[in-house]
Amino acid sequence: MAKKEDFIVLENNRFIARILEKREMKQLLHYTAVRENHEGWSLVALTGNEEGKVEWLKTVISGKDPSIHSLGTIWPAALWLEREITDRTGIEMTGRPKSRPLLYPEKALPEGVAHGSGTFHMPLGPVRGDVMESIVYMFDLLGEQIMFLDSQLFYKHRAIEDLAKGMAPEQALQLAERIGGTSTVAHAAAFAAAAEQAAEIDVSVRTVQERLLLGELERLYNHAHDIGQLAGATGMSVGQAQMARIKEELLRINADLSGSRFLRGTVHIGRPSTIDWKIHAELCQKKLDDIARRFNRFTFDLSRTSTFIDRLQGTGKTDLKWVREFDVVGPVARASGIFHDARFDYSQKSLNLGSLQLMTDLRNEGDALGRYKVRVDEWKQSLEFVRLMLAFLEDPEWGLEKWQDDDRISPEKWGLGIVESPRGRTNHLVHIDSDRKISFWNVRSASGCNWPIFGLAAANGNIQTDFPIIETSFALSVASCDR
Amino acid sequence: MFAKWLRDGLRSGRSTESYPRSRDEYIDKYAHWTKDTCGALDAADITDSSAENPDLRTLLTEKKIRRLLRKSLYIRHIDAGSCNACESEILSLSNPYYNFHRLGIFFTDSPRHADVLLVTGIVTKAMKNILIETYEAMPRPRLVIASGVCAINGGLFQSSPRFAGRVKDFLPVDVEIPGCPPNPFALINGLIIAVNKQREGSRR
Repeated sequence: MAKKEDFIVLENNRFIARILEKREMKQLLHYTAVRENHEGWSLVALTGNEEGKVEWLKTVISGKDPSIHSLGTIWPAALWLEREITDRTGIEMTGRPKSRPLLYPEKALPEGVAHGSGTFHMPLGPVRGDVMESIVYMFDLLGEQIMFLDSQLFYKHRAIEDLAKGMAPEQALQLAERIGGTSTVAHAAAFAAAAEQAAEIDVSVRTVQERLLLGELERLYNHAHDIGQLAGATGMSVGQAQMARIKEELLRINADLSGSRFLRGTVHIGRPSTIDWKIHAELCQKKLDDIARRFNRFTFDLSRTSTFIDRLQGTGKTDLKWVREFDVVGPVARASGIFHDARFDYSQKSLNLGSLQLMTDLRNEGDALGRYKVRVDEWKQSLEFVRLMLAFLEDPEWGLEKWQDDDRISPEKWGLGIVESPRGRTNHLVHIDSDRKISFWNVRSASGCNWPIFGLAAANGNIQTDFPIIETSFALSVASCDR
Repeated sequence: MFAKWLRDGLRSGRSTESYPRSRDEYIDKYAHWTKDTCGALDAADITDSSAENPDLRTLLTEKKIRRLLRKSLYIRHIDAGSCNACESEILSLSNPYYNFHRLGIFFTDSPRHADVLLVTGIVTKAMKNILIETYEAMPRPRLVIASGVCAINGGLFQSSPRFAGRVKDFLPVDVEIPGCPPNPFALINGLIIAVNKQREGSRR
């Protein structure tokens, strides 16, 4: 079993300084407040470095008016996390301007910042065109030009992390599956890994590899959907319909395998799924071949359609500086040429990743076209990986040995699970009490990491009609961020 | 360039153009869509909402169903706090497999043009008033469909501090579509049942 190593407990200012040490090399995995028995609150920060080592930091906040120096004003990746901490606990972040509550949209809404002749504010949402999740965008416009975009999420905040308190991990796993429906496996696998580490449950290699496979199946249908929606946003109805068809077929493969189109109930704590791969593998391979053929053809056609490419090129550009500062993850980061993918960054040595490679866009533009290209490349990679894994799992005797992993360290009764969801790195932090019940849970989803720069990218020299393209190319999930 | 898409469309055409000749096998394979389960769920209790979605084909004759679909139906979807799986399934309705446009059913951007309010997810405190306002903005007669276990009874999130109530606590719900999330077939079934209910004289 993985090693145990306690938190590094530091005094408040040293804590902030330690987080910021060499931060250009780090990723901020978690930054959250934990209730201490008597002394009030303590802040917990988890950072991962380039070698995939995780540092567990903690500081105790005491006093009548609890406060700590703001981290977000120096490292923007912590901006939204800090606002969340303030909303939950009342801990004041000194040195940062007051902002409206993040978690309670019914209390305050964005008001817009632009003033002067010709500017106007345009709120959009939460009920808006098509079938969309609930969110409010506040546009500051000068004619058609987007000058500033503020987004208010958390309309759908379901307080899932609080809800799980006192539950057994097996029960809370069902909540984890429902954090984001289109990243069911990613959340379930991250939660299961965290709970297993906390409860010191050993798993087999087969369990871990199977979760990887299910995660790739999820990536396949998500990327197909995102590419389809992107085609729809540029008016390419044929491309959209064909991609929707591919997505539907992939969902049906999921249903054939597990009985659930979104692969619900496939991840279990401490054991592999009940899917009989031997029965399904061959038919699954055959269907995937057919789907891959069409996917290749239609993405090839899309890539050679100038009306499609022209609309994507230079649209919704993300600045490389923002991507680094905000610790952006997933295809959005990789389109800017950032080499980050949780499968490789935090990959455990003994895992078999097959021929999977980290896919980035070599143009380093960070525009919608880059995100499209990264998704297309990743889709093809994932498919190869699924084929390979299916061949392995066909053998019911394969991978039954215990999974050895010495890299993962955690304090007693704490666990961390990191998974690359279709939208990027998703990590769960779990603490269990002596009765093996969940007493603390923090979720940091890929969408949660990426939402803060969405507004910046949308206002980066784009006009109103570019907005649907930017939105679909980011393809963020509101539910995963809201929890 | 467009000739390429046209040629390609003609070559592969069947799924975007022609109406399926035979029945979709999937509907029978997943016969449990009328029941309150989603197949692989371990715990039955989360989906126990006692909602029913009786199979339309056993309720009405084909002729009757055809008559119901003579007029178009416009849907306004509202997400009151779902996990995005329901949205994904509702979006699937317009893909070439289900192609609900062939039945004269469409999404509309404004509640002012909508016949049906399709609600997904638990009703959170932040969404409660927005849900009621959206309903108020709809012209009469209007239908409300609660889709998915969350919308029907709150599902797993009943004890959440942000849970405001079930959809039927705030709006008169005409049809409940069980499932987590409901299958697209179940959604189409529920939509047509709602129309049938309305035509039978339960107009408001």
